[in-house]
Amino acid sequence: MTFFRIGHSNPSTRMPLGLCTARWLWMIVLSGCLLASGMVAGHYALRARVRGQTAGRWMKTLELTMPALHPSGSPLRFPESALAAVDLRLIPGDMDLDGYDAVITARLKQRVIGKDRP
Amino acid sequence: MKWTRPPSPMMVWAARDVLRRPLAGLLLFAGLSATVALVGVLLLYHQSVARTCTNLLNEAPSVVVRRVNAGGWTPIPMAEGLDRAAQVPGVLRPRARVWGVVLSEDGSGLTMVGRTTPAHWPKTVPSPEPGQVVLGPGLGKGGDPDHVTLRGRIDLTLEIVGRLPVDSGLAAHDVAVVNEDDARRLLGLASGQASDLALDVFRAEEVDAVCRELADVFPWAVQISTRQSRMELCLGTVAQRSSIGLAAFVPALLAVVCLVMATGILGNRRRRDMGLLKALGWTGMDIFKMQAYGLGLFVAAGGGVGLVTAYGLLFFPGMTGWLNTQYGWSGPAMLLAPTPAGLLGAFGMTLLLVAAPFMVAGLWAARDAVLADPEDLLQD
Repeated sequence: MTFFRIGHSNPSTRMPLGLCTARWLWMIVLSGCLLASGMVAGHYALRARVRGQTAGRWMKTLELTMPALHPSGSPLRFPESALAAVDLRLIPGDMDLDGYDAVITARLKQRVIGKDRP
Repeated sequence: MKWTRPPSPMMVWAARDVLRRPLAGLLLFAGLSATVALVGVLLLYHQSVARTCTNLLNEAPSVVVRRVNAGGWTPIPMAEGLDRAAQVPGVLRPRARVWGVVLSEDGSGLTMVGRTTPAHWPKTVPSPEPGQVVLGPGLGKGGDPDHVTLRGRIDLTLEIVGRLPVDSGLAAHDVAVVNEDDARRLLGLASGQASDLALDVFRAEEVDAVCRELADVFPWAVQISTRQSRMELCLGTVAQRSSIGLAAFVPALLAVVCLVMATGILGNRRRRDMGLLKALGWTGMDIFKMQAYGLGLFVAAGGGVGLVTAYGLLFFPGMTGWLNTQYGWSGPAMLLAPTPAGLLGAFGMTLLLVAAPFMVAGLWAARDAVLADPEDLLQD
């Protein structure tokens, strides 16, 4: 019982709490660490891991293209729908709408749309 | 150390030494656990959001083809579009999507998805028939529990027949799933028209070449977006938001500096106690061990509480409400998905950033006492 012999040989008289309390402090801290590790590991294994899979499955089922971090309508939510409409005020006066549509379509094909916008 | 046996005597001495100054010990514990929690949240936040987004984006279609004209987006003829997309070598599973953003009863936008393909639909959630809707976990709170009105080209009141699970929130938080015909009516699409086409590619490396061929195979102008471009956009946005949060690293680092200084000052004040122990026959190594065990006690307690707090603030249901404010969510809290590697990395880095300087400062303060003569220590 070296443990208790050292305790009784303690020369200090200022120690308000006994060695037993000190021993229990270690036990509480180490038990707390084990409990915390178990809690985190258990939560991950039982809940958090499946959580990611569930969201992924619904992403696939609904054919969604981006996570729902941003509100609907935001260009960050669905960047594929973020192409701005062409400003129709830029239509030259002598060009009919069908002709303009063909020009713009050709430009879109070449992916140069936007460079000539004000 | 076996669990059934008491800790080593030096560990008990160290714990008792800590208990001699309960208030200082409590303050040090609180400061250490708060600092660990703050640094842990900062490190875990970015990587868990980024990892969650990456995992979700990996489930998304590789390529989305939208027909555009001078006015912007325009519906795509479904049969012709699918037929032409299938002609491109390397294209897999072309499918039409009927979806769009419509308004809810309170005027906020929501994503409406028309259910077009019967595959992959889980049996636990009812499939919406005409006149029915399945709501995402963030929708339909506070209104009529049985019906919801969606406002697109027309107003359509639909019966709520189910809800997507709460765990699907990061994919479908504000998504309403309706029947394909109802979706077309809401979006003003004719029969046989779709919003766009989604498809996968046989090899991810070929996606650029496939996109060029896709642009040529359609007789209309199309806008093609790839998963890679969406991933860059998404991760860039997440990094941008996280970098704002990284401003909290400044007070966290200040707190670490304060902790280190406090540990050093406390260590210097205990020189007389150490001299007394040395006069009683303790060796320098005994004092060093006691100091190390005492600091280890703080690191174990403060680090454990801090790391669990950080994990809880990001992943425990009921504690993650603050995440909603980051992205303007309403309804159930955002549920991020951690990864083991990310958790271990963030936890390790947190301990390295906070606990290691704390331990080094404490041991450095004890260095003089370990090497000094007992008489010199007792005279201080």
